[in-house]
Amino acid sequence: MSEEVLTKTEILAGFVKVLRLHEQISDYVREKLCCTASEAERISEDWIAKRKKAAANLKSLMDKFSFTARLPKNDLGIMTQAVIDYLLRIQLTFAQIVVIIDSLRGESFGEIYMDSLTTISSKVHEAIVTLLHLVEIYESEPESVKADLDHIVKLERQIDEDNIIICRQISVRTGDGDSDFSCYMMRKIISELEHISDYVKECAEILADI
Amino acid sequence: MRIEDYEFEQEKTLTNLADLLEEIADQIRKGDDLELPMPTLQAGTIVVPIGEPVETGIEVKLRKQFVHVNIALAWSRPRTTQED
Repeated sequence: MSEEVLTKTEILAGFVKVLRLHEQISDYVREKLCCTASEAERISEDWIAKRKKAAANLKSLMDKFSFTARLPKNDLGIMTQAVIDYLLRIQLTFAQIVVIIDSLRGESFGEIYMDSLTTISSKVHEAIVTLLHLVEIYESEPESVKADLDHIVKLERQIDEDNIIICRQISVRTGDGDSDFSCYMMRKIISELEHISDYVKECAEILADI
Repeated sequence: MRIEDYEFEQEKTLTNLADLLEEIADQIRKGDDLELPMPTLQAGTIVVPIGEPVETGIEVKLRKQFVHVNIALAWSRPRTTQED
């Protein structure tokens, strides 16, 4: 491998590769979480294949970070490292969600949560798509970067609110004594999704600074 | 089954935040229980027992457009609970 120091363009290209994989994983997760009762059976069957793909994506992600061997030893390098920090956290969090979904053994969630669950996982997916867009257009349309950042910040705030709503719904259920394993796991999924939106926001903030 | 992880995020004005921190400080000084607002709970608050020593962490990140300050506190439970 060449010893040449990375340029900003190459670093951004590296981020794009990582985020494309994140985007796919988040799409699988969203599809799995958003299914209605009528689709549940088909989606559960699909999940077996999707889960394999998600696992392959997660595995291949480590290699995508090998470009750090050629990081510039300056502010840009430090910023890059900070972004990578959050990208790795996003990756780990998706891995957690995939594992939790497995633990539910295809059991579907109570219908009363579905609206908020659908909203929250769609918004997380949208945040990742927006971050990918932000990185892709970073050099060609610097004026649009701010708009993408604002959108991500807005989504993060909405996700916080959705998180509060869905947790309250679960709390009402559990308050009635109807709390169980899947209820807890669902809350975990929500809270992990909410963390992803925080990490996406932090990535976007750092990138907007470069 | 009991769910024992709680967390929430909420936007607050500076005044609201100051009130919250004051309230927490008063309770800590008393040293009995800490009542924390939890908008995600049906009851709205969670009560946790206080104990010493407290492990503290403050993490600060400065960006051009944002400042992040994370405060983390941890201590061991001072008494065994009667539940379960």
